[in-house]
Amino acid sequence: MKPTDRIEKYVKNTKIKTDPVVNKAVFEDLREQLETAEGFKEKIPQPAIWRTIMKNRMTQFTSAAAILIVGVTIFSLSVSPSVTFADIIKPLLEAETFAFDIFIGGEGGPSMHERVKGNRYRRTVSNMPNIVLITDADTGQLLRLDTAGKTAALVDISGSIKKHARDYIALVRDSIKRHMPDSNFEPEDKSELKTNGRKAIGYSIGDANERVTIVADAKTGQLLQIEMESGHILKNFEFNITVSKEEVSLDPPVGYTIRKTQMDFSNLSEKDLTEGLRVWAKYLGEGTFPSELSKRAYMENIPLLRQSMQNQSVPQAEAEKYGKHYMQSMMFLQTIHFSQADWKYIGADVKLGDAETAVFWYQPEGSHKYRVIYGDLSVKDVAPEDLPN
Amino acid sequence: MIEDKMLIWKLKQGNIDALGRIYEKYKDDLLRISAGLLKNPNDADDVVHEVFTSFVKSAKYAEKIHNLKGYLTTSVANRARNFNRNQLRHPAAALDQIDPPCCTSKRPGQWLIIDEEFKRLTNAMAQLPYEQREVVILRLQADMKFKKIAKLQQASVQTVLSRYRYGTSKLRTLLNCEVEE
Repeated sequence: MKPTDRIEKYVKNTKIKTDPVVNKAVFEDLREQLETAEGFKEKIPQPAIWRTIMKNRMTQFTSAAAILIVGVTIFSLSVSPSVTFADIIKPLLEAETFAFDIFIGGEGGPSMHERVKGNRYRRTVSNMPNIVLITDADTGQLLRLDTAGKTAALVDISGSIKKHARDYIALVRDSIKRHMPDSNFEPEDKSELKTNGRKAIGYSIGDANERVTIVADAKTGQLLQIEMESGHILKNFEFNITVSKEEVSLDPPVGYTIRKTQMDFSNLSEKDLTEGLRVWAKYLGEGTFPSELSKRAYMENIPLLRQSMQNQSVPQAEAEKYGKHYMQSMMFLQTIHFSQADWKYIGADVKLGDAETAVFWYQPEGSHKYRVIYGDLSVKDVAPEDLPN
Repeated sequence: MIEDKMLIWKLKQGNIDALGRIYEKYKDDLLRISAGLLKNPNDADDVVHEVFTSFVKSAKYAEKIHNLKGYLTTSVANRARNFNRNQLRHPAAALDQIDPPCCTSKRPGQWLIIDEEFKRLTNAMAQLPYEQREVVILRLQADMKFKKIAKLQQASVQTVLSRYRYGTSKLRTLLNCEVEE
């Protein structure tokens, strides 16, 4: 008999499908209802964009993301006219040093704390209390410190992942700069809201895959929160703080033993993903693939993976190899995500070894066909019209 | 969630794109919950369609909603419960004696596509007493806290926890073969 948590997982993960024609019809009905609702008749613009989107096959795959492509509307706000977007983002754009917390995949998930000085940052992770990661985004070098075992390892991240290995504020800065034609720019997509009892103003900039929502105190302009399209939430900002050279040094602290690591993010490939999935199914899923595949899920399960391998007495060298596969798999997934490729994970509860059932597919850059990974971790090229759901 | 608050604010301004985003974001989850609570897929479609319609009609007052996901989920649960109660009160009513739901005519077919796996789950769910089914679905598919479910069911948290334990235990028995395969 399976334990209760297996049943819980089954109930939780059973998916439904909906008829796209009915989806469109219901939405059209709702749109009409909104147009005729009292108080809305004169407010509503008539975007034809919905019809375009609902006809598009991509909507079936990534509808939520695709919908974010649209959406420029003009609002008048009753917030203090003295607060401007430029005021709010000034410290964000100009600070040389800063610190903040990142909640992976939203609040409730594991969080990271970053202290940044120029192109270097020091990161700690809530569910890995003994690990410190110091990254130099310019050279593509990462120093991993284990403060409990007093060991240090240098990892090469100079490959395709390097451009995404910067601190999160750098990514937000890029997004703002791309969408900010001049210093007086005021995003049109803004809203009034309340957060923790404070009257706040929210701005949305960017489009699919890089949409950023910036929330600030409506009265003071103090930056409160940044929500990224990936679901990550940045909070608790401190700007122009003291970050010492030692805090972001790539030289291991005195007393640390330098260890060689097999980890290498410089040349990530599809093989990394399949090997990572194998490790996940074997050591975290009792032979089945995970219910979701996301950075948050990877991060949450790192301590469990370590524990599982210890419980199964996996020799140290092998444990390191599996740890490497797992981390490189996460990084490869990130490169797919950042490249804005079309991808989908459909492996929830599929058994490792099941050659008939697809667990993941993605479209490599420049390719017309998709790569589909099956439960036995074989990979096939598949035409878009033949993609499994 | 900040994004939901912004969407509600925009919807209040009559923004169609905000409505589209809310619809895309929550329709599948609501249909899954509705289908788990009701035996007939058409009824499940109706309930979700009605919930969205009612939400849109009262969009003017939507800023009072603090948790959009919770609000929509609770609306579906309440409507499904009312629907089941009405069915129990009028079990013998002939089909032609019942007014068709207001939303059915707006849909060109069945909204929810029921595959074999989902059918197995809903068949097993249908064998649970309604209160147990509701707790299991709201907890596992809507991530609702037991305290909130207790409020919804007007029962104590202890009672809700018992219903959850009995429900999952019975499901384990009913689904054992399928899940283990």
